[in-house]
Amino acid sequence: MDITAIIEDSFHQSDFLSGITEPQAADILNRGNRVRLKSGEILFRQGDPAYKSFFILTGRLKLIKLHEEGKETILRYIGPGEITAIISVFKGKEYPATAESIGITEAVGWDKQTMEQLMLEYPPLSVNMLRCTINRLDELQNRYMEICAEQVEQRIARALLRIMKQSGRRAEDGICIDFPLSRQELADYIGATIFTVSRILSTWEKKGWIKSKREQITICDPHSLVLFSEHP
Amino acid sequence: MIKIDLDMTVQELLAHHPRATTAFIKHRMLCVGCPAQAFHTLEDVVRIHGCTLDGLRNAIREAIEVNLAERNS
Repeated sequence: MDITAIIEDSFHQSDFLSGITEPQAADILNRGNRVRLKSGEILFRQGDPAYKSFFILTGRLKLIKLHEEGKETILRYIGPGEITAIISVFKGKEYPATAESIGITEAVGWDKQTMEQLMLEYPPLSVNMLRCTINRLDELQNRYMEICAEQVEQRIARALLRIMKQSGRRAEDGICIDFPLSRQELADYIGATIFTVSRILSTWEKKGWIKSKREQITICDPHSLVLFSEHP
Repeated sequence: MIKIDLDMTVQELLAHHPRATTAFIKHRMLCVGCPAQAFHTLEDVVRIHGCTLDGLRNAIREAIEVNLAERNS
């Protein structure tokens, strides 16, 4: 698929390309290398030298961080129009997490030199990357505070609502989370056990707040979930 | 008179009429900043919060128009 056709889709929603015109975006994307990943393929691994940053054209990445004892935590999901591995613009750094594709994913990667050149030629890119980093730091701080201060049920509710807000799609019976999300992944995302997550999701399903079929989660009653997340 | 479409999402309404925020706040509705605001329409809001269609529309209109009047005076 021609890159300019894909640009149209990811361009309008892309914070990374904010303040960049379409011809400029085409230049920026054409100066990187296209990568196409099958479902479940690894784009980069935690601990490997960080050579490139990546911009997602279509599909989605899951960023996983591994603990010493082998437990996985899901840091976040990266969707179309979003950039990841910005750290590669700095010398001698490693990828802080492993990126795995969810579904077929197409991305563009730039090495350090190319990205530095692009940042000089197109100043909005630097500002956008800074804004992106600050927003993600903000989100992680909030999630950290939730872990310190809040009960696990609230954290699950907030996580589902956060993911719903980022990747939700209006469906007949509510707002559907637009990619497969298993109970294990949800547990890895909030730092709880799968047993706790399963138990709580079953309770909410009985209440009619959510529907969950084969890793497809639909929020049927966002209002109740929001109220619950604020005052359990 | 300002047209308020019931199948507008809360997000769309607030993008066109930021002043409408005060209507929700005044009636203690958590719609502003809600994770569902990009998906829920005004019709959904009525169903979920148990208010009437006209009640909501009037409250929004009042919030927009009163604020406009205050700005112009």
